[in-house]
Amino acid sequence: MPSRVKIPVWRYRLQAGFTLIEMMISVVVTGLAIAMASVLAINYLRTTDSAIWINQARQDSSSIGRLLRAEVNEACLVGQDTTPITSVTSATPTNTPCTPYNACSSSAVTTVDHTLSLLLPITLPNGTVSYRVITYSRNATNLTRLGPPIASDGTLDVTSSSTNISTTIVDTLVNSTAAFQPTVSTDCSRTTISMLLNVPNTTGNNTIAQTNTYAVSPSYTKPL
Amino acid sequence: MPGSGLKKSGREGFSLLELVVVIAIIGLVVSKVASTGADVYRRDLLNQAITDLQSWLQEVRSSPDQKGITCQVDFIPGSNLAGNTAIATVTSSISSIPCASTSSVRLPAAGGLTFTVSAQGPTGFSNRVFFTRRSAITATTNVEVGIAISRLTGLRCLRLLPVSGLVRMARNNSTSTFTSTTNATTLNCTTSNAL
Repeated sequence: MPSRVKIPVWRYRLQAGFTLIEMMISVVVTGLAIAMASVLAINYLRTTDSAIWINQARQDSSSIGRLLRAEVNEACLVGQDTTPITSVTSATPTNTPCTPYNACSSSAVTTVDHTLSLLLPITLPNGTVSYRVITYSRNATNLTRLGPPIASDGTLDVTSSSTNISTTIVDTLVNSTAAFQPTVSTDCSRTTISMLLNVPNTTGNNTIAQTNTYAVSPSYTKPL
Repeated sequence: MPGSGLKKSGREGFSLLELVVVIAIIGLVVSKVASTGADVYRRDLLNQAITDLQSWLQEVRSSPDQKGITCQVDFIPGSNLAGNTAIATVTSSISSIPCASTSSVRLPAAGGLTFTVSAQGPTGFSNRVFFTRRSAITATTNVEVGIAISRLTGLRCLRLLPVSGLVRMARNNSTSTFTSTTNATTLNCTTSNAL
């Protein structure tokens, strides 16, 4: 009868493979490592994404600020009324639509329904002066501009064929009354506008706030 | 040794059936990974095309106010456009003062893949919009630019808001009906599906 060869215990264990409990532990540990790595990766992507959208919101805020500054600077009056008077209402020669009597209150006001109006004197090619109104108003998350379109040289297109157009110039306002709050000085020469822009595609309450004061053209002197 | 023929020694190889099953599984996994990888590559190219256009337009948009010029941007829509094809050019009102670091924006190099680009705007748009010193553009309605790439179902869009010229990007990953004359908005490529 052949004698049995004894296999050492350590060698036996080497050839035996893993037990079920060992396999389960390794699977769980691997799963935990993958989960942690995934969380870190997702957080990194979200942070990067948020930075992109915040940057865009800041650019939007800056761009809208420049547009408002340019248009207010061309105006002779800023008004709290949606329809400032654009025609002479008195025989007094100095009483043009650009005098403050027609559009201003006795005190600084927050504009009605968060609507800001600008009265712009436009000198036509024949030398006569025409008056146009640009109105900014908020509707939910949109800031709407009602006024003449823009000509290719950057001036207002006030040719006879052009009519006022209503355009949504910002679509990311916060949906609240605080998102567009213009106030007008007592002499209707300055407006201070507070805006709240929502940062899209980010979690949480991410907003960009800006408050700027804009003045009408210095060439319009206000008889107080 | 008699009676030990069925006993495996532990050093025997795999059976043919085992090999076939393993090779089939590996083949399926490799083909799926390759397919997904190719889609990811095409999607990256598409995203790059739209983000290149967006960055370039942002640069153009800031120039008139900073440099006192007007910038005329012409979009160049088309079908089966190869990589490196210009899809928009800019012309400054003062030739010595450029509107951007490059006078055009081009599609990314894409090997044998091609792009389809559309541009839609207000009446009289003619693929042209002016960025003015007023920090405003001449368009009176949205300007919509759509870009798709061959062999990928999906669309990337860029929108210029009227007057303000604010730039918005969006996507639709399920459309396959896009052409160079399609208005991107009609394919639900809207800002609610932001890129």
